[in-house]
Amino acid sequence: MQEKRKIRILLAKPGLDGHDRGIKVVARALRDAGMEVIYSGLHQTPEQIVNTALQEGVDGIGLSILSGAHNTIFPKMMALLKEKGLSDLLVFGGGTIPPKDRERLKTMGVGEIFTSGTDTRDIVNYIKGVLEKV
Amino acid sequence: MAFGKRSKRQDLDLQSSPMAFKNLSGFVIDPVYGTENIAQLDVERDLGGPGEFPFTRGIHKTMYRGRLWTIRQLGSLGSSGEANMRIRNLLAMGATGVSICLDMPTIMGRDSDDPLCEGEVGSSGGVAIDSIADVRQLMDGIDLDQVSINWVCNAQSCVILAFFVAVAEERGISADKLAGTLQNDILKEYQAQKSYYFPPRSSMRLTVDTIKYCCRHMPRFNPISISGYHLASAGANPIQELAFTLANGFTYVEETIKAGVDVDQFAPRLSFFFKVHNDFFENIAKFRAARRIWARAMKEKYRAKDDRSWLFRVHTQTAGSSLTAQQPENNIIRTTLQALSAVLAGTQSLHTNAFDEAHSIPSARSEKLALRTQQIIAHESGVIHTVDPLGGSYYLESLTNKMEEESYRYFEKIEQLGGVLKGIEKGFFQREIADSAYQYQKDIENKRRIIVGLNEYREDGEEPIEMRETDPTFETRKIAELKAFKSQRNQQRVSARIEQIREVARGDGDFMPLFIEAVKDGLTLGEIIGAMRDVFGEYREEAIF
Amino acid sequence: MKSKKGLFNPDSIQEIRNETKRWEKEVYPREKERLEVFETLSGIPIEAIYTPEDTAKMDYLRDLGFPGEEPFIRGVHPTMYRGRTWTQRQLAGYGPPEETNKRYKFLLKQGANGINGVFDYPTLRGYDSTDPEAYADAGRGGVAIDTIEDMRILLDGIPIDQVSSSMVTCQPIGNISVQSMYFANAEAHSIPFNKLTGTSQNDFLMETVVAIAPEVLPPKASFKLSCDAIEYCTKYVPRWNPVSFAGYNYREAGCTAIQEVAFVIANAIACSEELIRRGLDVDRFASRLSFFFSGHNDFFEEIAKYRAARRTWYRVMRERFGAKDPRSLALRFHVQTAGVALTAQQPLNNIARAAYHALSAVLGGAQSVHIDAYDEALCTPTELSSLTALRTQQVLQLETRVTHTIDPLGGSYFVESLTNQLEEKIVALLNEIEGMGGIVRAVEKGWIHKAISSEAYEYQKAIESGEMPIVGVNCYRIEDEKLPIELFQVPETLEIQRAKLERIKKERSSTNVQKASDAILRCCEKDGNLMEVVVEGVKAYVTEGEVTKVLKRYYGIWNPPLF
Repeated sequence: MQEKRKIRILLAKPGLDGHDRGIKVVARALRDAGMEVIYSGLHQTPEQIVNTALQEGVDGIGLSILSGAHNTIFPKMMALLKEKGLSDLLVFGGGTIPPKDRERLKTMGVGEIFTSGTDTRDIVNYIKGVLEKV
Repeated sequence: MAFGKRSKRQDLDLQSSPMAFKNLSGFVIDPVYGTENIAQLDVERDLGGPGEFPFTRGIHKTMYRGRLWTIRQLGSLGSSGEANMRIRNLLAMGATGVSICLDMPTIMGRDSDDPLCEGEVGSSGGVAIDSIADVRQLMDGIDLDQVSINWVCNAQSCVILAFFVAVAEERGISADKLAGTLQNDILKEYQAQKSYYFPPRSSMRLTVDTIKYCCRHMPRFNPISISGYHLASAGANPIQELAFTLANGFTYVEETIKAGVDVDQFAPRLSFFFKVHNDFFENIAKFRAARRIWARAMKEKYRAKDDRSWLFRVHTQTAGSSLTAQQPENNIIRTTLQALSAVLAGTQSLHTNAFDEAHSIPSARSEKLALRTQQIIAHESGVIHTVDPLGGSYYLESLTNKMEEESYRYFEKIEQLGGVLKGIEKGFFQREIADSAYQYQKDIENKRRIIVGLNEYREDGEEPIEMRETDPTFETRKIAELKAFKSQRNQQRVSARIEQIREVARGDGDFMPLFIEAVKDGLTLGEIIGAMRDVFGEYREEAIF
Repeated sequence: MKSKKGLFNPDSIQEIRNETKRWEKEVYPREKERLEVFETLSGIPIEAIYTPEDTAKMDYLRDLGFPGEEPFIRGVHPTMYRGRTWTQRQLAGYGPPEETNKRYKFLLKQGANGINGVFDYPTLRGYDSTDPEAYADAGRGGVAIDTIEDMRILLDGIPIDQVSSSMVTCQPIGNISVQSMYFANAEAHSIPFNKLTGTSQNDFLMETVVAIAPEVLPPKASFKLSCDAIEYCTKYVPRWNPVSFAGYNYREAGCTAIQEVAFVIANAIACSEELIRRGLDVDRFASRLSFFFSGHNDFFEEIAKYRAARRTWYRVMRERFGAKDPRSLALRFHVQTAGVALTAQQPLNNIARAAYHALSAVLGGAQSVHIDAYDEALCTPTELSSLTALRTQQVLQLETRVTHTIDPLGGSYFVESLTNQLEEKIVALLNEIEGMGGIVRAVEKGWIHKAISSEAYEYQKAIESGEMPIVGVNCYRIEDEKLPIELFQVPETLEIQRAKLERIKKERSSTNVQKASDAILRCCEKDGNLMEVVVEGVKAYVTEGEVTKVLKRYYGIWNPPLF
């Protein structure tokens, strides 16, 4: 039997904001849970993120946005992914995102939004739940 | 009030949380402290009186008996007009100073029309500043020579200061009348907050430039607020916050001395910014230790002679990262206790967080409540009637000593790395902080650390609280305004100024006087930072997690 | 154990004294102060700075010592909150018992670890809900209890053999019936009395001084009822605290922190003397006397108050009564955050106040704490406000880490010196009351009433003159404030209670009722322990109002002095 391939996740921090505590904690938690994590670093444009996703052949992309720019960045990301034929990639996010916007982003195809206070195990379980089913 | 029987429920809580008796820095706490724990304490040498070396008990003789701390609430929001209203409102409600936060594009040194800024103009509740016109509007109707203004800006501080001075001059107020603070702490940007553009040494040059300018022209203005708050927000524990902040402070002192300024000329204007987190006594010990370490170093190591150079003056903010999105009312309680600890610690000014901050930009109601919290502590609790009321407490004195000792241990480590700038380049601080942040999260998840409403006493189906919305049309309007502003400038003078800035950047001259003239000619923030970027280049850190 | 070792050595004290003098004379006067006087809420002057000089006369082992040991100033238990944290006891009670029962269950489910019953005015004062004197207040300010049936409903589904109950019965006239119903109800559920834990308030000052109402029992009679309940519990319900000296309520009525402690201790001295006179050994009952204090605005004075109260009580029990059992020597207390410090204006501000009121109680070593809900100045707490109050307890317990070491302020020059000064003033006041012939006499003479009301007047004047700032009231006001919170509506009570009373009166045996009433009267005549007969009476469905009528018929009524 073929050895199970590790889940590969790209974590990216788009926009101008540099608050990277949350994304780094998540990065470690995913790594500790056995995933391969590529962390983009700061100030990534949606184009850069999608390119990295292509090059690295990841299974999912997580975006951390605390600045309030989520309503601009997510739609852009989703459009770009579609353009590149990557619509089936799992996209999830985290940050300071109000409930109303969370719902709207989900209808756009964003899988899940995790806000302040989320247990990292919930994020791990979510990703595994979605990707291991496939 | 039954004392005999302990209920089953309580037993369960305590046993199910394998909490060691440790504080947030990880020190083990003893069951009881007595005289033997502070046997080595020499009251004259280690405490002194208030306003006396080494200032453990407070930097002023009268402290709050003489005057209360400055109640400094955040006042900024999107457009400079709206922010202006909010500032006036806060002042009318009894705030004695205001802090101004900037939106992401401004923080990153870019104008609102920069394509990279799409969707972020006016974000995070910050005010968008592109040009002198914005600052003019922001300061409209505010007595610039009366109110103390704290500018929460860092890498772009030199330009913001230039806007501020230029606007004051237009109104006939000279720079020496202006009071307030620039955050302007670039080291912690590399270590924690990550809003930098140039390589560390170029940034340091700009910081020293503003310090020099303020020393010469703005005696009532603090050119820097060296911030542990952001280190702590990024995950540093209290001992790291204390040690790294002071190490950064020493670095600014050394760099400014290197630039040829006498220590007593600038040291009295250095100020600090701390966070108060959940651990009540650890907060207080941190401030007391900081005052003592700073005073000793300034006097003994840097040979400052003016006693004002020895003072660790500090602004404090309650811990945004301790607030929970769940059961937001609980945050009022946390903020109150944290604010009380800051006051018992002898802070010079204080910002209290609004209870809905974990959700969104504070609403007017939550912001008012945060202000009231300070007023209640000031006027009702009576804790301000004597200086350093906890002084002598066996527990607190021993914790203060311990924090001082541990700081020296970190200083040695940093020294071995070759200093703070080297430490940044090697990723030392970033790694230390990321380790602590991860540890903190783990502690919460396995309940070694309890946060009420988050990992204990959760409720399902909570009602969302009211939240303030950012106006979606703001960005377009702001860009249009900027376009109109640019079209009225003398384009030739703008180009000439840009070249001048590049010129100074290539050499080692002073920037500030040039910036003040440049903003009067209508140069925007993005243009000035851009001109320097052409010369200094951009810094990218290695992503460490 | 008596060591001569002080906190600091004498040489350095002398040096500090000289330095302090220099600082006070030469350095300090160069600066300006904000206020003319700095003092605590009870008027003790506060110095600019406290140093080891202020605690120079203290002997560490004699005056501070260790937790769980004499003089108990650092805490009554060796481990204090490292062993177990204080009991989080949130008051609840309103409307008919059916409603209050639901709130109890809600709070227990949310993590509260005890129940704390408050009763409506008719119940506290010994009336039935339907009494023409009282019906307008049925269900207001607490739960309505008329008969043992109401007690059964109130406690339905609550494991009273496992959770402890605090019954804020206030006045002995109400306590004797309500307490009897509690015990009789337990018996009906076959719960042995030695499994019952809890406290009843039962403070005769509550009846004769604090809740000023006409036609109450005379002080001596009220005091006797209180002592009867204590004696009864000492003999039959060994783990019950039969009295909780209600300094909290004296404080709410206006007295100072010093008076609060002095009056409760004077009250406890009187009870102890009476019980010893009745032949009980001091160590049999003293450990069950408990105290109830207010957590008011003056943060450090409150902490010092709790510590001073512990040391004063220790000295009284040891020196005056010769108590030997450490549990008799250790003063245990419940704290409620001060209702009088809350404001109806800008009610959310009260969350901030109550949070540090409670913190001072915890730093003072309280055994249990109730935190007021932010809307209490306006209405009976809503579910949200009572939950926020409970969360305040949990934030203190679990997040602040002030529980990690015992008596964390011990050694603070200011706190130790304030503790010493408070103790001195408390002892002086105790001596004054003693000189008058004790607390019962002082009540009869109206002296206590006068002491409290003049302080209340001073307090009000200080607020009105602005000398004492209260945020939102005399400063930082908002004109035309819109109430940002939802107010609680007390559920319909009177008709529910009336229906039950009518049914019970129809169904009960009138012969048994008559017999029970006669037994109570006979017990009065021969000066027996009234609780023993009232417990039997409530089993026969004698109502609270009926018990009161018999007692008042025999003892007469008293109109407290009005100032």
